[in-house]
Amino acid sequence: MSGRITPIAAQVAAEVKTRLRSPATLVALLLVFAGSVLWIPDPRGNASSLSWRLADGREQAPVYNSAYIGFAASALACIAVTLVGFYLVAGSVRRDRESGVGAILAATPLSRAAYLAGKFAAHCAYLSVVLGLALLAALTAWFRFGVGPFSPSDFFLPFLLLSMPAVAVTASFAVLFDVAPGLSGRGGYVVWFFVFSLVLVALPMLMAGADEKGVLRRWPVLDPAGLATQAALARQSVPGAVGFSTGLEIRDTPFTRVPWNGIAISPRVVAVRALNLLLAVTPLGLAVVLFDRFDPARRRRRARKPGLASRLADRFRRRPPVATSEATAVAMSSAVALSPVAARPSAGRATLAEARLIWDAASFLKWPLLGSAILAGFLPGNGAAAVFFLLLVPIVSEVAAREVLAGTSALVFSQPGVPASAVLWKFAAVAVFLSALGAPLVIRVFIASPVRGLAAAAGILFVAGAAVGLGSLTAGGKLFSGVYLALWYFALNNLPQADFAGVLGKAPVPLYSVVYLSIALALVSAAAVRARWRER
Amino acid sequence: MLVIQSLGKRYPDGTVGLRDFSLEVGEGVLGLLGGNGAGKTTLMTILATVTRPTSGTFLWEGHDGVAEPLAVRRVLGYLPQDFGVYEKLTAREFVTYLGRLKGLSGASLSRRAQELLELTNLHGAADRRLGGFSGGMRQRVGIAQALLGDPKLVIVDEPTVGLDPEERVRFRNLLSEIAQGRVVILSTHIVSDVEAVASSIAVIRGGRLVCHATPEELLRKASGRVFTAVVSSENLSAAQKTVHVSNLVRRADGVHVRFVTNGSTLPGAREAEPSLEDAYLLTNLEAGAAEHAA
Repeated sequence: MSGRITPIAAQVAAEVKTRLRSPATLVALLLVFAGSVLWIPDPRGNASSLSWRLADGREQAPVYNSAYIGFAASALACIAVTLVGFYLVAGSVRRDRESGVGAILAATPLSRAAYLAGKFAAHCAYLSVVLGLALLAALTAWFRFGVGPFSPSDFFLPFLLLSMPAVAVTASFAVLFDVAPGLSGRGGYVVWFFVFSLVLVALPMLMAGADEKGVLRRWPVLDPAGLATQAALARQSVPGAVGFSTGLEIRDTPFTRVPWNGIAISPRVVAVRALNLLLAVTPLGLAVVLFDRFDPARRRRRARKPGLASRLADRFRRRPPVATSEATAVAMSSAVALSPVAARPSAGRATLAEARLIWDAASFLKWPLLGSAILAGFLPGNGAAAVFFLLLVPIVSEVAAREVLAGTSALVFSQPGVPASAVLWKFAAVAVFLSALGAPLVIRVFIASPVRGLAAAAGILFVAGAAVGLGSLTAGGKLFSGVYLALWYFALNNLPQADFAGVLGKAPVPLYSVVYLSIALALVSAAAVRARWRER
Repeated sequence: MLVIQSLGKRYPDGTVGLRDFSLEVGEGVLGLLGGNGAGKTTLMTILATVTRPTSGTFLWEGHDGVAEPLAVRRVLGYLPQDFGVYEKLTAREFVTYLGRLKGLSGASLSRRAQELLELTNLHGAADRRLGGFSGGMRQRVGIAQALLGDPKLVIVDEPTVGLDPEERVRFRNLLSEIAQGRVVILSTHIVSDVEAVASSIAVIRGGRLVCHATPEELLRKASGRVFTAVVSSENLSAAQKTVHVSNLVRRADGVHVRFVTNGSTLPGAREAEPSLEDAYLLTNLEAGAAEHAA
């Protein structure tokens, strides 16, 4: 038994050390902690992360006893772990593959299952740190605003029951995405968002017979992320309520705070959560089946037979000469007979070249992106704009870290056109790229309301700044993807504070776009200063 | 003309990459020889303006390369030792992208990219994605991009790693030809590469320049200090402790040993014609002895 455990423990230790030594971890955990603090706001204010409406129209929220704070922390932990946590842990197998460590591991006796189990355990360990931060924020809230005696069982039990399957399902899906063809890269970051919203949020609600108000007819049996279970338990705890919200709600006036006994945890609830914990490991089993164990031959695509059009075109195409030894000799003798070229390097040209590379590197995704960008300029509503902002994730998330990830830093940064500050160069290139694509949307909104048009423009620049700032600071695109998608999700769910471009929610506040742009510019400045400091 | 003045580099972890390195390099190929960790790549990355030195500087045609890196980058063709590629791009797209960063554009860029892809024997694979390229093919893409903008200063760090013998010969010839009217710095630990093309050789050890000479001067210096001898298998270990063996071949009559020496010798040894590899080993041996004495 210990023979099986040792390699897994070794992997967990290596992963944890790798992550703890990365500045990205610190930035990510600080953001998670900040989000956790905001989730449990001052009870004297107009916001609450749990509220209900009674039949007579009164809206109420619980007082800050240990049952409520524990429940709020569990709700936050389930969303943070499944939505953002995935982006923190995904890409581990990909990193082993690209760094060449995978090839070394493949030559050891480590089995596929043991390797992936190690990754799964390491993800769980890291996500538990996220849980710990949510708990820390909850304890902080208790010490600041808590009322009544502190009950450890009321505080910790809901938290553990709801969030542990969420950790397991996120970790196992992260492993699956890492080994599944087509999902291990930037495209997988977007696909995960749909897995989260459709498989982990909508499907459990649907299977529990949810009506349009979110009232469940049956108990949500299949619910690894725990969000449907939370809704059901919360609803059960206030029988007279006709409307219920387990998300952050903000009103014009303060909520009326009333005593709340918390959710009732029966043996059945415990059994269902235990079942979900087991079910959560299913994607890991699929990953073991799909994993190629770093065999390069298994990742090669089978050569496709050229189509009819391609074969016809080939008949008329001038074929390149075959490299025979005679051809080689001729090439050698005329090695320096190159046509003259005039180079005029400039920062502007380099910026346009980089913007063009973003387009070229966007693979097939560039076409739906272009389509949604054009449609966003003509169609009313936020549908096309939402798709446009979503498709930006895989396209711009890794632009700032591209050289680090691909190993082209020396090649690129020794070119004469590249400006002294690579961070500002990247920011300019992404801003040019996004401004060109976002122009139809901005013009449409500007015609309707100049202030909102300017807010949309600021939002587009925010995306450029956040992608470049966070990408450069963390040398990757995952943190940006996680934070940005969380904002996008909350903005679409009509949280005006999250609507960074003022075009996604129903009641946007243009001022927030300015705030977001300021944050992005601060991130870009921090990244530029850090890069300059590291040069020294 | 490239003038390197007292370059020094200390990394944040305290490792010293270069110490007071000075050298003047004229037209032609300078072969930079040194063992692993000698400081070759540190020197190359500083000259390519990718890294800044902690002391000293270098001048290119009178321009201070540390204070004015752009003056160097405008004339630079650089092939790093380890470099990646964008796997989703084709060879042509990748070379064209780097050409744009060099300030090339339009038809002249397309033409130059095509010429270089042909020159590096990649024209048949120019429109294939780089993700499917072998190590040697990627290396050739790196060589193609280094020659994009008519460079006057060409810096190539271990350029023949991963190339097959035919491509290696081809690259050496190419390097000889482009060296006319240009300064080419070739860093390698493969002495035969340098022997074929270098007009001068610099030997680096522990971040210091230990020798700068023409190949003929190095060979002359090694003359009378290279020997061959036949020893039995039992005596081989003792022989290796006495002299610095540069090559050995096991034959029926015993082990044929080739060695360089500062004085000690083996019984029955006969003087041999020195090769550049012998001369390099001897230079390193002397530098090591001097360090030890110091």
